[in-house]
Amino acid sequence: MGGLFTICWVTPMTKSHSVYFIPKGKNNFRNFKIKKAFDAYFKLSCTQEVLEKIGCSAIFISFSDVLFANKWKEDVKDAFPIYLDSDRSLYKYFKMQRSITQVSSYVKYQPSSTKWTKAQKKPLRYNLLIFNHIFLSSDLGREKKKILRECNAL
Amino acid sequence: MDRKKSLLKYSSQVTSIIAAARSLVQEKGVENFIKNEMVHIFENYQALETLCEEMNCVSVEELEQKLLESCEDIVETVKEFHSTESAWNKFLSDLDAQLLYPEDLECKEFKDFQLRPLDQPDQILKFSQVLKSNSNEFKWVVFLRFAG
Repeated sequence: MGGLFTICWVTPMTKSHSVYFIPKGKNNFRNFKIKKAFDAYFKLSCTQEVLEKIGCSAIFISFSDVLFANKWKEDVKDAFPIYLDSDRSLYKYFKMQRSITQVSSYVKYQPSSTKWTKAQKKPLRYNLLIFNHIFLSSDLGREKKKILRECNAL
Repeated sequence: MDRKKSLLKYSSQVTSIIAAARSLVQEKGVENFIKNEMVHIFENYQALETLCEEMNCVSVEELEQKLLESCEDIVETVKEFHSTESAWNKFLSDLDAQLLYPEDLECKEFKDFQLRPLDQPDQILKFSQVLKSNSNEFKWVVFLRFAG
């Protein structure tokens, strides 16, 4: 496990999608604005098959308690395994930014990716979530990179 | 309820939420606030949702648009809305400024961090075990964050 850590994070609130490539042992993040990607989670779901093809799988890590994590799982019918890290030790290790501002924006996160109306049940407040994707790789081969690019995962 | 009343009510609600939250942070500290008092942050959303409903908007974007198109008699109130928004953002950025990580975590080996599977919360696994939990070569880790 060495070389390149790719950290991709999404703030549903700002609808921005940034990917950070972090050379091991360094903290100088290079920020690549990819495209507005409100739906990284959906993208991740859609690309699960592709990720598996290249030998990559996804796990979710939640800092919240069991209750919140289960609520999330039930609501999005998430197929990915979820782990709890209430101390945020891993998150801290990667020096991921802490920010209440980033999880408290006015823009709503809409699980169905469709706008809710007054008649519909309001979504849970997933605008309070930030997804940080960490893709661990010693060396991504050209072929694997091509597959990931094709599904916009890189 | 007319637009002006709705906007003023929202503004006053947010001002109260900020005052209550600031007082809690001062009294108990920001970490305690994040752990136990985030409901105050949620209250802001509640107020905003109510405002959206009263203004017949299905999204905050639509609300913003409606405010921009507002007729002159509520211009001042719209200003009040934006000033409320600024006050809220200032409040949040003040909280952010207090969020720091302890330095002693820097040297740890990340593979040894401990995680608990959601379906078996009593079990403790090292992150290295989680990474090796199947034959896949790489893992894509997604952090779910509910608070700062």
